Amino acid sequence: MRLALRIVFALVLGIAIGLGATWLSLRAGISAFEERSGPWITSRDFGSAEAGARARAIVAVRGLMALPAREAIYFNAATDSEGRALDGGCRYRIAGPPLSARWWSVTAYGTDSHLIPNARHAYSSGDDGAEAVLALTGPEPGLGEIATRAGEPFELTLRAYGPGPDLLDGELPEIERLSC
Amino acid sequence: MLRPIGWIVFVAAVAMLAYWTATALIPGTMMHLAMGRLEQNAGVNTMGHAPLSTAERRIIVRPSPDLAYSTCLFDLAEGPVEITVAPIGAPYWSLSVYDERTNAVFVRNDRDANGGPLRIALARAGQAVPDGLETVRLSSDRGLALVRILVPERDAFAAIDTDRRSAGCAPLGRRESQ
Repeated sequence: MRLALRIVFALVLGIAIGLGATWLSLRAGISAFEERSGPWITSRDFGSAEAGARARAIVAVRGLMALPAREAIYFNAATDSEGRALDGGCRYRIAGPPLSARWWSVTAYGTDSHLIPNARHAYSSGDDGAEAVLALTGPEPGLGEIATRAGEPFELTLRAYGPGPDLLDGELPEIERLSC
Repeated sequence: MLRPIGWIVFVAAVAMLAYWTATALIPGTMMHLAMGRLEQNAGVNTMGHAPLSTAERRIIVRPSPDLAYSTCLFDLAEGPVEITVAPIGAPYWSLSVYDERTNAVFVRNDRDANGGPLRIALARAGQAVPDGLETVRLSSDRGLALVRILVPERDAFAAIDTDRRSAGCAPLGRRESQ
Protein backbone atom coordinates (compact mmCIF):
# COMPACT_ATOMS: atom_id res chain seq x y z
CA MET A 1 0.00 0.00 0.00
CA ARG A 2 2.80 2.36 0.98
CA LEU A 3 4.69 1.46 -2.21
CA ALA A 4 1.59 2.09 -4.33
CA LEU A 5 1.20 5.54 -2.76
CA ARG A 6 4.82 6.32 -3.45
CA ILE A 7 4.45 5.30 -7.09
CA VAL A 8 1.36 7.47 -7.51
CA PHE A 9 3.17 10.39 -5.87
CA ALA A 10 6.20 9.90 -8.12
CA LEU A 11 3.98 9.74 -11.23
CA VAL A 12 2.12 12.93 -10.27
CA LEU A 13 5.39 14.68 -9.46
CA GLY A 14 6.98 13.57 -12.74
CA ILE A 15 3.99 14.68 -14.83
CA ALA A 16 3.88 18.02 -13.00
CA ILE A 17 7.58 18.60 -13.65
CA GLY A 18 7.20 17.59 -17.31
CA LEU A 19 4.22 19.89 -17.90
CA GLY A 20 5.97 22.69 -16.03
CA ALA A 21 9.01 22.26 -18.26
CA THR A 22 6.73 22.36 -21.32
CA TRP A 23 5.16 25.61 -20.11
CA LEU A 24 8.57 27.17 -19.47
CA SER A 25 9.83 25.99 -22.83
CA LEU A 26 6.90 27.56 -24.69
CA ARG A 27 7.01 30.68 -22.53
CA ALA A 28 10.48 31.35 -23.90
CA GLY A 29 8.53 31.61 -27.13
CA ILE A 30 10.17 32.82 -30.24
CA SER A 31 13.29 33.86 -28.33
CA ALA A 32 14.16 30.17 -28.34
CA PHE A 33 14.92 30.36 -32.07
CA GLU A 34 18.42 30.48 -33.29
CA GLU A 35 18.69 33.16 -35.95
CA ARG A 36 19.23 36.61 -34.51
CA SER A 37 20.05 40.00 -35.96
CA GLY A 38 20.07 42.84 -33.45
CA PRO A 39 16.74 42.65 -31.62
CA TRP A 40 15.15 40.51 -34.36
CA ILE A 41 14.77 36.76 -34.02
CA THR A 42 13.61 34.30 -36.67
CA SER A 43 13.80 30.71 -37.81
CA ARG A 44 13.93 29.11 -41.24
CA ASP A 45 11.69 26.32 -39.98
CA PHE A 46 8.33 28.09 -39.56
CA GLY A 47 5.54 26.09 -41.16
CA SER A 48 7.96 23.35 -42.09
CA ALA A 49 7.67 19.63 -41.46
CA GLU A 50 11.42 19.70 -40.79
CA ALA A 51 10.97 21.84 -37.68
CA GLY A 52 11.76 20.15 -34.37
CA ALA A 53 8.98 19.26 -31.94
CA ARG A 54 9.69 22.26 -29.70
CA ALA A 55 9.82 24.72 -32.61
CA ARG A 56 6.54 23.33 -33.97
CA ALA A 57 4.88 23.68 -30.58
CA ILE A 58 6.09 27.27 -30.16
CA VAL A 59 4.92 28.23 -33.65
CA ALA A 60 1.55 26.54 -33.00
CA VAL A 61 1.09 28.64 -29.87
CA ARG A 62 2.59 31.89 -31.11
CA GLY A 63 1.99 31.96 -34.85
CA LEU A 64 -0.14 29.12 -36.13
CA MET A 65 -0.14 28.59 -39.90
CA ALA A 66 3.01 30.53 -40.66
CA LEU A 67 4.27 30.49 -44.23
CA PRO A 68 7.52 28.63 -44.93
CA ALA A 69 10.69 30.71 -45.31
CA ARG A 70 10.75 30.62 -49.11
CA GLU A 71 7.41 32.46 -49.13
CA ALA A 72 7.70 34.76 -46.12
CA ILE A 73 10.15 35.37 -43.30
CA TYR A 74 8.91 36.54 -39.92
CA PHE A 75 11.20 38.42 -37.55
CA ASN A 76 10.11 39.05 -34.01
CA ALA A 77 11.43 41.59 -31.49
CA ALA A 78 10.57 42.05 -27.83
CA THR A 79 13.34 44.59 -27.17
CA ASP A 80 14.72 47.72 -28.82
CA SER A 81 18.16 47.79 -30.43
CA GLU A 82 19.72 48.57 -27.03
CA GLY A 83 18.17 45.48 -25.47
CA ARG A 84 15.48 47.24 -23.43
CA ALA A 85 12.05 45.58 -23.33
CA LEU A 86 9.54 47.29 -25.64
CA ASP A 87 7.27 49.48 -23.54
CA GLY A 88 3.86 50.55 -24.84
CA GLY A 89 4.23 53.89 -23.10
CA CYS A 90 7.32 54.80 -25.15
CA ARG A 91 7.64 56.03 -28.71
CA TYR A 92 9.82 54.03 -31.12
CA ARG A 93 11.16 54.43 -34.64
CA ILE A 94 11.78 51.26 -36.66
CA ALA A 95 14.00 52.30 -39.55
CA GLY A 96 16.40 50.66 -41.96
CA PRO A 97 17.28 50.19 -45.62
CA PRO A 98 14.90 48.50 -48.10
CA LEU A 99 14.57 44.76 -47.51
CA SER A 100 15.24 42.13 -50.14
CA ALA A 101 11.57 41.17 -50.40
CA ARG A 102 8.42 41.95 -52.39
CA TRP A 103 6.71 43.54 -49.41
CA TRP A 104 7.49 44.27 -45.77
CA SER A 105 5.24 45.10 -42.88
CA VAL A 106 5.77 45.88 -39.20
CA THR A 107 2.99 44.95 -36.75
CA ALA A 108 2.69 45.46 -32.99
CA TYR A 109 1.19 42.72 -30.80
CA GLY A 110 0.42 42.50 -27.11
CA THR A 111 2.19 39.81 -25.13
CA ASP A 112 -0.94 37.68 -25.66
CA SER A 113 0.00 37.58 -29.40
CA HIS A 114 -3.13 39.52 -30.40
CA LEU A 115 -3.39 42.95 -31.99
CA ILE A 116 -3.39 45.91 -29.61
CA PRO A 117 -6.88 47.47 -29.35
CA ASN A 118 -7.19 51.02 -30.68
CA ALA A 119 -10.00 52.96 -32.28
CA ARG A 120 -8.18 53.69 -35.56
CA HIS A 121 -7.09 50.10 -36.30
CA ALA A 122 -3.53 51.43 -36.35
CA TYR A 123 -1.87 48.03 -36.10
CA SER A 124 0.88 48.06 -38.74
CA SER A 125 2.92 49.84 -41.39
CA GLY A 126 4.11 48.36 -44.65
CA ASP A 127 5.42 49.02 -48.13
CA ASP A 128 7.03 47.28 -51.07
CA GLY A 129 10.58 46.05 -50.87
CA ALA A 130 11.92 49.01 -52.86
CA GLU A 131 11.05 51.35 -50.01
CA ALA A 132 13.12 51.85 -46.88
CA VAL A 133 11.61 50.42 -43.72
CA LEU A 134 10.11 53.15 -41.58
CA ALA A 135 7.48 52.70 -38.89
CA LEU A 136 6.68 54.63 -35.75
CA THR A 137 4.92 53.33 -32.67
CA GLY A 138 3.57 55.08 -29.61
CA PRO A 139 0.65 55.36 -27.19
CA GLU A 140 -0.62 58.47 -28.98
CA PRO A 141 0.16 57.63 -32.62
CA GLY A 142 0.06 60.16 -35.43
CA LEU A 143 -1.41 59.39 -38.84
CA GLY A 144 0.10 56.22 -40.28
CA GLU A 145 1.76 55.29 -37.00
CA ILE A 146 1.22 52.14 -34.95
CA ALA A 147 -0.67 52.31 -31.65
CA THR A 148 0.63 50.79 -28.42
CA ARG A 149 -0.73 51.01 -24.86
CA ALA A 150 0.93 52.83 -22.00
CA GLY A 151 1.79 50.51 -19.15
CA GLU A 152 1.82 47.39 -21.32
CA PRO A 153 4.81 45.65 -22.90
CA PHE A 154 4.49 44.70 -26.56
CA GLU A 155 6.29 42.88 -29.36
CA LEU A 156 6.94 43.69 -33.00
CA THR A 157 6.74 41.34 -35.97
CA LEU A 158 8.50 42.28 -39.19
CA ARG A 159 7.13 40.28 -42.11
CA ALA A 160 8.96 40.01 -45.41
CA TYR A 161 6.81 38.49 -48.17
CA GLY A 162 8.58 37.10 -51.21
CA PRO A 163 12.00 37.22 -49.53
CA GLY A 164 15.14 37.36 -51.66
CA PRO A 165 17.82 34.71 -51.06
CA ASP A 166 20.04 37.34 -49.43
CA LEU A 167 17.44 38.73 -47.01
CA LEU A 168 18.85 36.97 -43.96
CA ASP A 169 22.33 38.28 -44.77
CA GLY A 170 21.15 41.87 -45.13
CA GLU A 171 20.73 44.66 -42.64
CA LEU A 172 17.52 44.70 -40.60
CA PRO A 173 15.96 47.90 -39.27
CA GLU A 174 17.01 49.42 -35.97
CA ILE A 175 14.40 49.84 -33.23
CA GLU A 176 15.17 53.17 -31.63
CA ARG A 177 13.45 54.41 -28.47
CA LEU A 178 12.64 58.08 -29.06
CA SER A 179 10.95 59.03 -25.80
CA CYS A 180 8.97 57.69 -22.85
CA MET B 1 11.97 -1.27 -2.62
CA LEU B 2 13.58 1.40 -4.77
CA ARG B 3 16.47 3.35 -3.38
CA PRO B 4 16.28 7.17 -3.46
CA ILE B 5 18.30 7.28 -6.69
CA GLY B 6 15.82 4.89 -8.24
CA TRP B 7 12.92 7.17 -7.36
CA ILE B 8 14.76 10.18 -8.82
CA VAL B 9 15.37 8.33 -12.08
CA PHE B 10 11.73 7.22 -12.16
CA VAL B 11 10.42 10.77 -11.62
CA ALA B 12 12.86 12.15 -14.22
CA ALA B 13 11.74 9.54 -16.78
CA VAL B 14 8.07 10.35 -16.17
CA ALA B 15 8.83 14.09 -16.45
CA MET B 16 10.62 13.60 -19.78
CA LEU B 17 7.80 11.48 -21.11
CA ALA B 18 5.24 14.10 -20.04
CA TYR B 19 7.34 16.87 -21.65
CA TRP B 20 7.73 15.12 -24.98
CA THR B 21 4.10 13.98 -25.08
CA ALA B 22 2.75 17.46 -24.33
CA THR B 23 5.13 19.11 -26.82
CA ALA B 24 4.21 16.64 -29.56
CA LEU B 25 0.46 17.04 -28.97
CA ILE B 26 0.40 20.85 -28.92
CA PRO B 27 0.49 21.54 -32.72
CA GLY B 28 -2.41 19.19 -33.47
CA THR B 29 -4.39 20.48 -30.50
CA MET B 30 -3.88 24.14 -31.45
CA MET B 31 -4.81 23.37 -35.05
CA HIS B 32 -7.95 21.57 -33.89
CA LEU B 33 -8.96 24.56 -31.73
CA ALA B 34 -8.23 27.04 -34.54
CA MET B 35 -10.21 24.96 -37.04
CA GLY B 36 -13.15 24.95 -34.64
CA ARG B 37 -13.05 28.74 -34.48
CA LEU B 38 -12.59 29.05 -38.25
CA GLU B 39 -15.67 26.93 -38.79
CA GLN B 40 -17.63 30.01 -37.71
CA ASN B 41 -16.30 31.62 -40.89
CA ALA B 42 -17.59 28.92 -43.24
CA GLY B 43 -18.59 25.28 -43.15
CA VAL B 44 -16.41 22.34 -44.16
CA ASN B 45 -15.37 22.18 -47.84
CA THR B 46 -16.52 25.72 -48.59
CA MET B 47 -14.45 28.89 -48.94
CA GLY B 48 -15.09 31.51 -46.29
CA HIS B 49 -13.93 35.09 -46.51
CA ALA B 50 -12.96 36.70 -43.23
CA PRO B 51 -13.03 40.45 -42.68
CA LEU B 52 -9.73 42.22 -42.05
CA SER B 53 -8.19 41.34 -38.69
CA THR B 54 -8.87 43.59 -35.74
CA ALA B 55 -7.92 43.46 -32.07
CA GLU B 56 -11.47 42.41 -31.27
CA ARG B 57 -11.60 39.48 -33.70
CA ARG B 58 -9.46 36.79 -32.09
CA ILE B 59 -9.63 33.77 -34.34
CA ILE B 60 -5.92 32.94 -34.61
CA VAL B 61 -2.86 34.33 -32.88
CA ARG B 62 -0.68 36.94 -34.60
CA PRO B 63 -2.96 37.64 -37.53
CA SER B 64 -1.54 40.04 -40.09
CA PRO B 65 -3.70 43.16 -40.28
CA ASP B 66 -2.31 43.70 -43.82
CA LEU B 67 -3.78 40.49 -45.19
CA ALA B 68 -7.28 39.46 -46.15
CA TYR B 69 -7.70 35.78 -45.27
CA SER B 70 -10.00 33.38 -47.06
CA THR B 71 -10.13 29.90 -45.61
CA CYS B 72 -11.40 26.45 -46.45
CA LEU B 73 -11.57 23.78 -43.79
CA PHE B 74 -11.40 20.65 -45.87
CA ASP B 75 -12.30 17.07 -45.10
CA LEU B 76 -11.23 14.40 -47.57
CA ALA B 77 -13.12 11.54 -45.91
CA GLU B 78 -15.75 11.53 -48.68
CA GLY B 79 -13.30 12.19 -51.51
CA PRO B 80 -10.97 14.80 -53.01
CA VAL B 81 -11.63 18.52 -52.70
CA GLU B 82 -10.95 21.12 -55.39
CA ILE B 83 -9.53 24.56 -54.60
CA THR B 84 -9.63 27.36 -57.17
CA VAL B 85 -8.30 30.89 -56.95
CA ALA B 86 -8.79 33.40 -59.77
CA PRO B 87 -6.23 36.23 -60.13
CA ILE B 88 -6.77 38.94 -57.52
CA GLY B 89 -5.87 42.61 -58.03
CA ALA B 90 -3.46 42.93 -55.11
CA PRO B 91 0.33 43.35 -54.76
CA TYR B 92 0.62 39.79 -53.42
CA TRP B 93 -1.59 36.79 -52.88
CA SER B 94 -0.91 33.16 -52.16
CA LEU B 95 -2.62 29.85 -51.55
CA SER B 96 -1.22 27.58 -48.84
CA VAL B 97 -2.46 24.22 -47.62
CA TYR B 98 -1.84 22.90 -44.07
CA ASP B 99 -2.37 19.40 -42.81
CA GLU B 100 -3.88 18.77 -39.38
CA ARG B 101 -0.40 18.76 -37.78
CA THR B 102 0.17 22.37 -39.00
CA ASN B 103 2.65 21.41 -41.74
CA ALA B 104 2.47 23.59 -44.85
CA VAL B 105 2.21 20.97 -47.60
CA PHE B 106 1.60 23.36 -50.51
CA VAL B 107 2.32 27.04 -51.12
CA ARG B 108 1.96 28.99 -54.36
CA ASN B 109 1.77 32.73 -54.91
CA ASP B 110 0.56 35.05 -57.66
CA ARG B 111 3.98 35.18 -59.36
CA ASP B 112 4.25 31.38 -59.33
CA ALA B 113 0.85 31.35 -61.04
CA ASN B 114 2.14 33.80 -63.72
CA GLY B 115 -0.88 36.00 -63.22
CA GLY B 116 -3.25 33.16 -64.04
CA PRO B 117 -5.71 31.19 -61.91
CA LEU B 118 -4.79 28.36 -59.57
CA ARG B 119 -6.66 25.07 -59.56
CA ILE B 120 -5.60 22.12 -57.42
CA ALA B 121 -7.11 18.98 -55.99
CA LEU B 122 -6.52 17.87 -52.40
CA ALA B 123 -6.64 14.11 -52.01
CA ARG B 124 -5.58 11.20 -49.81
CA ALA B 125 -3.34 8.51 -51.23
CA GLY B 126 -5.38 6.26 -53.53
CA GLN B 127 -8.23 8.70 -54.14
CA ALA B 128 -8.87 9.10 -57.88
CA VAL B 129 -8.28 12.51 -59.43
CA PRO B 130 -8.79 13.45 -63.12
CA ASP B 131 -5.66 13.34 -65.27
CA GLY B 132 -3.97 16.69 -65.67
CA LEU B 133 -5.33 18.23 -62.49
CA GLU B 134 -2.51 19.19 -60.16
CA THR B 135 -2.96 17.19 -56.98
CA VAL B 136 -1.69 17.67 -53.44
CA ARG B 137 -1.68 14.36 -51.55
CA LEU B 138 -2.29 14.64 -47.81
CA SER B 139 -1.65 12.24 -44.97
CA SER B 140 -4.71 13.41 -43.02
CA ASP B 141 -8.37 13.88 -43.97
CA ARG B 142 -8.70 17.28 -42.41
CA GLY B 143 -6.70 20.45 -42.87
CA LEU B 144 -6.89 24.04 -43.94
CA ALA B 145 -6.45 25.82 -47.27
CA LEU B 146 -5.63 29.48 -46.73
CA VAL B 147 -5.67 32.31 -49.28
CA ARG B 148 -3.68 35.34 -48.15
CA ILE B 149 -4.18 38.59 -50.03
CA LEU B 150 -2.10 41.66 -49.30
CA VAL B 151 -4.23 44.72 -48.66
CA PRO B 152 -1.81 47.64 -49.03
CA GLU B 153 -4.18 50.01 -47.27
CA ARG B 154 -7.51 49.41 -45.61
CA ASP B 155 -9.29 51.54 -48.24
CA ALA B 156 -8.27 48.97 -50.88
CA PHE B 157 -10.12 46.17 -49.09
CA ALA B 158 -13.54 46.60 -50.76
CA ALA B 159 -12.21 45.95 -54.29
CA ILE B 160 -10.03 43.06 -53.10
CA ASP B 161 -12.96 41.58 -51.20
CA THR B 162 -15.01 41.53 -54.42
CA ASP B 163 -12.14 39.89 -56.37
CA ARG B 164 -11.45 37.15 -53.85
CA ARG B 165 -15.04 35.91 -53.75
CA SER B 166 -14.43 33.99 -56.98
CA ALA B 167 -12.13 31.65 -55.00
CA GLY B 168 -13.76 28.28 -54.45
CA CYS B 169 -13.51 25.14 -52.36
CA ALA B 170 -15.80 22.17 -52.99
CA PRO B 171 -15.80 18.39 -53.27
CA LEU B 172 -14.21 17.53 -56.62
CA GLY B 173 -16.84 17.35 -59.36
CA ARG B 174 -19.35 19.32 -57.35
CA ARG B 175 -17.86 22.77 -57.65
CA GLU B 176 -19.99 25.31 -55.86
CA SER B 177 -21.73 27.80 -58.12
CA GLN B 178 -20.39 31.29 -57.72
